[in-house]
Amino acid sequence: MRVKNVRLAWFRGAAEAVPLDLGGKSAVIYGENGAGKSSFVDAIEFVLHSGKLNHLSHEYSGRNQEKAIPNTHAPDGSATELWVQFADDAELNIKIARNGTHTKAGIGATKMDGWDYGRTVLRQDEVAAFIHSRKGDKYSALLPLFGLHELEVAAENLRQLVPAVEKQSQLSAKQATLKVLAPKRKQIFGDDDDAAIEVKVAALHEKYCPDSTTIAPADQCSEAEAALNQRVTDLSEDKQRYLALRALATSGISVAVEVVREANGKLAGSAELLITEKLQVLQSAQIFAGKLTEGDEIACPACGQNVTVTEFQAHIKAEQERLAEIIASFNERKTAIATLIDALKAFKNTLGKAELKDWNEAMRAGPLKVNLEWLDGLEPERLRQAITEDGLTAIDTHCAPIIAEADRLSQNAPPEIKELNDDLAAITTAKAVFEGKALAKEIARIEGIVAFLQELETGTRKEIRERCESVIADISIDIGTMWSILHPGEPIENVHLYLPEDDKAIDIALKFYGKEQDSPRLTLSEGYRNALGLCIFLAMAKREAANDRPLFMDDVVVSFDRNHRGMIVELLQKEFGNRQVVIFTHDRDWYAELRKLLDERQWIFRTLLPYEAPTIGIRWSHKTTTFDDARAHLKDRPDSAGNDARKIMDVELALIAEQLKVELPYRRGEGNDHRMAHEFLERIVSDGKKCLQKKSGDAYPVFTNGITALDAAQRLIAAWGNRGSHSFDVVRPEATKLIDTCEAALDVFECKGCGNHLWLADAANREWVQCQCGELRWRYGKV
Amino acid sequence: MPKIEADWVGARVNEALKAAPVATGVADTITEKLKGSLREGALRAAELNDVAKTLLAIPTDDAVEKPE
Repeated sequence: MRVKNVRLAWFRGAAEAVPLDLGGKSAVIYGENGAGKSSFVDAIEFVLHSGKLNHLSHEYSGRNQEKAIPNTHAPDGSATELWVQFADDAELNIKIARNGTHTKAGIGATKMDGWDYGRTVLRQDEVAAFIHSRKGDKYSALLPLFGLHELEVAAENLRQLVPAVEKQSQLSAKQATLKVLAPKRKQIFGDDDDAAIEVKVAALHEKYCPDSTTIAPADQCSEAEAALNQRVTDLSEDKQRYLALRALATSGISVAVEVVREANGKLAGSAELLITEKLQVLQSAQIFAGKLTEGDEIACPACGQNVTVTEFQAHIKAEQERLAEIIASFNERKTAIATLIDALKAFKNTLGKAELKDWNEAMRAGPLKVNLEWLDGLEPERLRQAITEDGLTAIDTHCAPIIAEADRLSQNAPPEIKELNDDLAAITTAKAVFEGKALAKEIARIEGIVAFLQELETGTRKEIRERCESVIADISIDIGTMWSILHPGEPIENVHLYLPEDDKAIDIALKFYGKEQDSPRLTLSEGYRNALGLCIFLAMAKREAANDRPLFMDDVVVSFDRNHRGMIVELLQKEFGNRQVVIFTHDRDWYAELRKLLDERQWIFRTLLPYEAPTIGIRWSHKTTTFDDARAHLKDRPDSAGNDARKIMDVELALIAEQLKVELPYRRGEGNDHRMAHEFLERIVSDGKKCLQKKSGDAYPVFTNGITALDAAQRLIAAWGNRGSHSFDVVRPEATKLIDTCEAALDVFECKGCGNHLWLADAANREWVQCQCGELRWRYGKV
Repeated sequence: MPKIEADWVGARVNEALKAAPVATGVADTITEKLKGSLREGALRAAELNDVAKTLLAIPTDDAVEKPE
């Protein structure tokens, strides 16, 4: 589907509607920097990226890029619009509202649906960025172009489901709870297994609930616990005091402190600096991200730069995955701290009981004064915010004497009290162990789902890899072919894509002077790397050739030297001969070269005027030459204008001399490559007096008016053109005349009848070249 | 360019079940969600959470056997 016309109104650099008329042909568009070339490419990207331009994404350009897409000086009431007309005359029209939202209309509204941006638009900065990017980024850029995007999305959904399942099920908290239970079980039951504990529970149940017929261990625990609590309530005050002291003595604070200490040690062993603080920030950020609305932009809490909510959420998710193992330790520590806090609260609560009042007062007047007062000042809940090794030591130091004293006194308790306390501890711990069994089963179920999702993701990624390898093998053949067209006979060869061992990565390998290299960044210069990027994207674009979609190339040869730049014509002709290609360039010499080398029957050539102001917008020159660049300097810098005209003539005439096979005397060294316009003109005028002909009836007399125009240009260039570059004293009228005369001289080679250059067609016997209608002719044999 | 075959999801899920068996309901839900993501693209955060909740609410069934 070829494009006939792209039209812009108040879109980016455009003011009143400005068309890029292609007529379904390929085109080369020249414009100096800022002339508005990229506005047309932006229009194509706007359609393909559903109203977004990627190169604006790093700037704050508004939620819908409304600060950047409409012309900054669009008058009130003007409409920002773009149109794309296709070869079958169907047209796509997009209207962009002031808030940046857009609507599509026209019978061609869906014509570009399904076009891949990466296979339609090539921009210099994107090609360079691709080569400089990391392997993972190359993978992300290429996968959609390989047609594997859907599979990657499926794999990514599976990957992200794993943390979602873990989060929703509170898996790590459950695992941590189970882990914290272990030391308590060890303390009460030693190395007893579950069966042995069940036997002990059955015995206690029999002891405290002799009439019950309950069999299930968990139910036996509940019944026995209720019976034990009832017995405690029924105890005398004195016995209750003993029981409270036993509770203090067996509070488990030391064990809880040790568990926290161990968890702290695990986190401290992490290579991440300030990991606890980082994880706390990460948790807060996750809560914050969960409350945001997708599609919005927010100021990044870390750096203040505007990022989209989607990017912010993705970043948090990626960070959580990277720190998954540490996060598990972090959650384990949180649970351990919670257990310690509960133990301390229970300890303080027991100390405050009425039955311990006398003992408490006696201790405060005696050896435990400092410890009890320290405990009075302790707020266990505050330990959730921060708990250090010093804090743990203080807990140990102050609680241990109280526990020891309580233990000592409770040793004198009646045996039934000690037994009651021990039985109560056994039953409550056994209950926790049985609940833990259910928890373990639940954890196993969740882990099973996680394992299934991971297995599915692994299988999907394996499939992506296999398919990727197959596509890469095909594409690498095209990349190699294109590379060898651009760099014939050069010692950089076997250029191909490959999949490194790591998942989700693609890189480029090549042979550099006989040595295999697994990355182009290791050896290639900037220009070579960009050429490589161009080959890769053109290889991708070529895979669309069957659909005949156009290819827009925006300044893709910026870093190419003259030799390699010249080979692009051959590449386009060989590999994209049937495809519509639209090249935008600010390289005047290359533009002149393309005008001479590309077939005028398939290609059109247009030049943009230098940009003056947003209210004037993008404007086309009515010329195909680039003299309007020179005219733009007439007002302020006539020297530059004259100099530009001479430089344009240097390039244009060198190419014309080559087309007309005009031979100049050989010079030594680089002299052959640095000839000036007046040297070419002198020879063309001299040969032209015999070779340049214009049809008159059936005869081909010498085109004398043409020779006169060329001769005039030669004289002026010799007189003023070189002066413009060397002595800087060309005045405005002189520069104006020089530009007009040079332009008139180049017009000599363009037929006014058919509009083609006189070298368009070769005679079968190669005696002459002529324009399409045969009005103008250059006859070699006359020399 | 390669196309995703219609029965690709089912085959892939059956492969995964061999190595990591789960309740039939979990496998069915994932099959549907995978087919959906091939059609509609990436799941958003809220959708991921909904799928996770659905998976966790599915009880285990007797058909699930751990691999040896």
